[in-house]
Amino acid sequence: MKKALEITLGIVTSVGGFLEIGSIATAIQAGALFGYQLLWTVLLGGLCLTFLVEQAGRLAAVSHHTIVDAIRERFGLNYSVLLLAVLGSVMLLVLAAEIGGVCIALEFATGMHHAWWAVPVGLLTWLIIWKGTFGIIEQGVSLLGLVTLCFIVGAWKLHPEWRHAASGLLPSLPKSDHARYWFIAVSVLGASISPYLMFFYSSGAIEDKWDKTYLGANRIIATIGMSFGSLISMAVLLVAALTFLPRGIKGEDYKEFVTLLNDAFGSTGVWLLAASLFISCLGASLEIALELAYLVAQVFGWNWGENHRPRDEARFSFTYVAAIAVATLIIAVGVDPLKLTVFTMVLTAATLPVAVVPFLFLMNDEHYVGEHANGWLSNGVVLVITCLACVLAIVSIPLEFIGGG
Amino acid sequence: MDLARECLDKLVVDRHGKKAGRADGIVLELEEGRPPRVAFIDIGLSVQSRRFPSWLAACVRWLIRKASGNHEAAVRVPFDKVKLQRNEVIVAIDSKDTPGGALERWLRDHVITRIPGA
Repeated sequence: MKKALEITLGIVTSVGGFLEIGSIATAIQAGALFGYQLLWTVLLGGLCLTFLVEQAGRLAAVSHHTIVDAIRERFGLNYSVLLLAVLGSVMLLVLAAEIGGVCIALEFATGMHHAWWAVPVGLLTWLIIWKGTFGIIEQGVSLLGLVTLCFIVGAWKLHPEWRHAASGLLPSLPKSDHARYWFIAVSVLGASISPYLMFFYSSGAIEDKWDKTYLGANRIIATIGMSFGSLISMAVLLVAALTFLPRGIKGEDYKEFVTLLNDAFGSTGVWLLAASLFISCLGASLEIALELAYLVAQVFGWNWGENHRPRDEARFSFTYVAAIAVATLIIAVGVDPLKLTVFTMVLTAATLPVAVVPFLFLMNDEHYVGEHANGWLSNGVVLVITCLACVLAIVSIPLEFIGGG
Repeated sequence: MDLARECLDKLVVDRHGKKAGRADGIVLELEEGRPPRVAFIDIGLSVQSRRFPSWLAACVRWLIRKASGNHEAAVRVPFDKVKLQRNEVIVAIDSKDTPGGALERWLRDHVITRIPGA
């Protein structure tokens, strides 16, 4: 019964944790500019993430190692410091983007410019981690994240042409604006396959003291949770395709997002959008701030854990406090959260190989996963993701300049 | 024993079960006519810096000098006080006596406990 409850909560966690400013903003831009044509990128990103998250949970449950722990042991100090430098910097920018996302939600609700909200949002993020437990963060915020289901309801109410939408699940080339098309495709994939999510998932599994008895639960959580998360992202894309594309709204300014749900819900749409953005971005901010602290602590072998008092783990607590302070400052000085989001999603895509390549080795190392090593299907998928990650790493930066708008 | 696999970079846990860093270095003793013997494991930032590329090592050493004035921000544990386990290395020392423990104390006393609710 306890495990069934944990599975349910885990699924809810995944639903709440999947959607954040990156997936919302890139899905809106994909729908607003190319209609249903980029649905395949959300599907592909969701599938890749499902496999990666399941493997991250399996590694933690079988070996009692987080991914970072295992990378430090298996690939040594220099590689783990490189991982820390590369992923840490990107995650810091993503954290700023997520704090910016919460500020945008508050701007939609109150009309006050987002930069004024940066400090209160930074303080709220800090306070929840400072006083809360892992359970409260994992389950409380994620349960509230169910408000994002309004995108599915919204898409349903707008009566999309389902056959036409289904054709978007297969990759196709655009008639024009190729650079922009591929730039957004890379951004969507970067937003979906974020290493921080699989790193956070493996740290969470250790926080929750998973063992081999959780392997079945892990599979269910990863599959249903991530699929459901992708479904919500697809719904965001559908709503943008049905409301923004016909009006020529390109979604290049976050202020344009405010009317996204108005066709489906009338004046309530603004409030639903603000609530969805607020909860999903706040949840992501909490996860990323914690993951940054986990990352540093695990590389250097510090004590870590969200369930202890801050004074008992001063280095760990100091790391997330400093990360939140820097990220808050970036938004408070007036950086545009949407531009930052799109930029960081491309950076995430570019840095994927640093996390995914060693992970492939770990999932085949008997020392860590024993008889639970990857089969041909999991290896095949991670190999595809690795190739995809390498291609993304090569093309993402040039696309940033050619197609970034 | 495969030292690189079974000891180097493993999590170090102290006698109270607290994490005390990682096995950043292994010291071997060489005596003529005898096989090399594992003498110590080293833990700490200055040991880590020896494994970095030279430019990064110089930066880290400069930082250590500025921060603590201590050129050897490391602790050396005799190998007979070390117990190798599958996931960790257990050492018969107190994590408070490591350079990481000193940083932990400094941050706790000067930063964290000054924030309400710590």
